[in-house]
Amino acid sequence: MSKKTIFLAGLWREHPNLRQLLGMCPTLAITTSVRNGFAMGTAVLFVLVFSSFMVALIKRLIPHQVRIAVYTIIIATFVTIADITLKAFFPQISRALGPYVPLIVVNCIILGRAEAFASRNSVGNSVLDALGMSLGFMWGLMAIGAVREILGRGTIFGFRLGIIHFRPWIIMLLPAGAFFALGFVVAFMNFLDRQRRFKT
Amino acid sequence: MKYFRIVLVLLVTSLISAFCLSLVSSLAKARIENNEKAAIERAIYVVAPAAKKVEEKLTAGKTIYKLYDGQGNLIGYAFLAKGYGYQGEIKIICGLDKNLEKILGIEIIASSETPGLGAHINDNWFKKQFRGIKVLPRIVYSKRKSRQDNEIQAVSGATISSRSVVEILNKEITKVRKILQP
Repeated sequence: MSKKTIFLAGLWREHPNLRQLLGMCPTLAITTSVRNGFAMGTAVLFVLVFSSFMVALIKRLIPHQVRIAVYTIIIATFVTIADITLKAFFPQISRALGPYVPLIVVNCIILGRAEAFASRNSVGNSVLDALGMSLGFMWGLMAIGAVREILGRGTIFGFRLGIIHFRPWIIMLLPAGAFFALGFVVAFMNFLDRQRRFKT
Repeated sequence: MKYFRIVLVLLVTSLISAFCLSLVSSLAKARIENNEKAAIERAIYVVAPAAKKVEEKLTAGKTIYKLYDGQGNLIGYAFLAKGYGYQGEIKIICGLDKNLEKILGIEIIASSETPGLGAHINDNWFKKQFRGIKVLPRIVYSKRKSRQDNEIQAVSGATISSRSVVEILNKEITKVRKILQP
C-alpha cells in the first residue's frame, strides 16, 4: 500500500462515518452547525492521531490478552486532555459540544483504527491513516452540519444567508433532521461514486 | 512470568496516564475556574447595567453578589439560580432590587432546550419581560400578553421551558429573600 492510498482511504473510500457508519453518536448529535462539526472533528483529530501514534509505538510491548484495555487507557487519556483543554481555552465550544467530547472515548472509530491499523503497521503509516480517517470524519461532520445549519437556521458558519421568504425548517435542528441530513449526504456520496464508475 | 508481564504493562500504562492527566488538570484548573467566574460576572453586568462594583458574599451556603452603583450605593443583589428545564439544566443569573421586591433583570447562562422552540427562552424579548416585574407573591406566566405586574408571557409552543424558568426563579428568589431578610 502506498502512503497516498493509506491517507486517502479515510477521506473517501473507507470514510469512517459516511461509509463505515462508525461514530454515529457525535455524527447525529452535535452536527447542528458547521462550526460544531469542525470543533468535534478537531477534537477527534487530536485524539485519533495521538492514540494511533502511541499504539503503533508500543504495540510490541503489549501482551495480546490486555491490548484492548491498554488501548482504552491510552484513548481515555488523550480524550480527557482534549476535554480539559477545550474547557480551559474554548469554553464556548466546550459548552456547545457538551458531553460529546468525553464520549469520544467510546467512539468506535478510534478503537477501531487502533485495533485494525495501528496495532499492525508502522508508526508513520499509522499516523497517516489516523490523519486521513479524522479529516474524513471532520468533513463528514461539517457536510452534515452544513445541510442542517442552512436548512434549519438559514445561516452558514453563523453568517445569515439572507434568502428572502425563507422560513428555517426547525426539524433539521432536531434529532430527526440529523437522520435526514445523514441519509442525504450518504446518498449523494454513493451517487458521485456511481457516476465515476460509469465513466471509467 | 506471563501474568507478571500483563500486570506490569497495565500498571505502568495506568501510572503514566494518571501522571499526564494530573499534570494537565493542575495546569488548567485555575483557568477553568476563571472562565466560569468570568461568565457569571459578565452576566451580572447584563442583568444590572447600572452596577459598577460587584462584591461577592457567601451567606448560608449561597453565593450572593452585592451590586453597587458608581457612588457606592447598594442597588441590589444578583445570584445564580438553576434547575431543570425540558431537556437539561437551565442556569440563570437573576438580579433583585435592594428591597427584594422587583427583578432587575435575568440572563440565561446555560440551557439546552429544543432549538426553535424552548430555546427561545434565550431571546431578548423573553428575558426583557422580567425587567421590573414584582416577585411577590410569586412570578406567574400566561399565554396572553402580560397584564399584571408579576406576570410574563410564555414562549408559544414551549410552555414547559417558560414554566421551568419561572419556577427556577421563584424557588431561588424565595430562598434568597429568606437569607437576606430574616
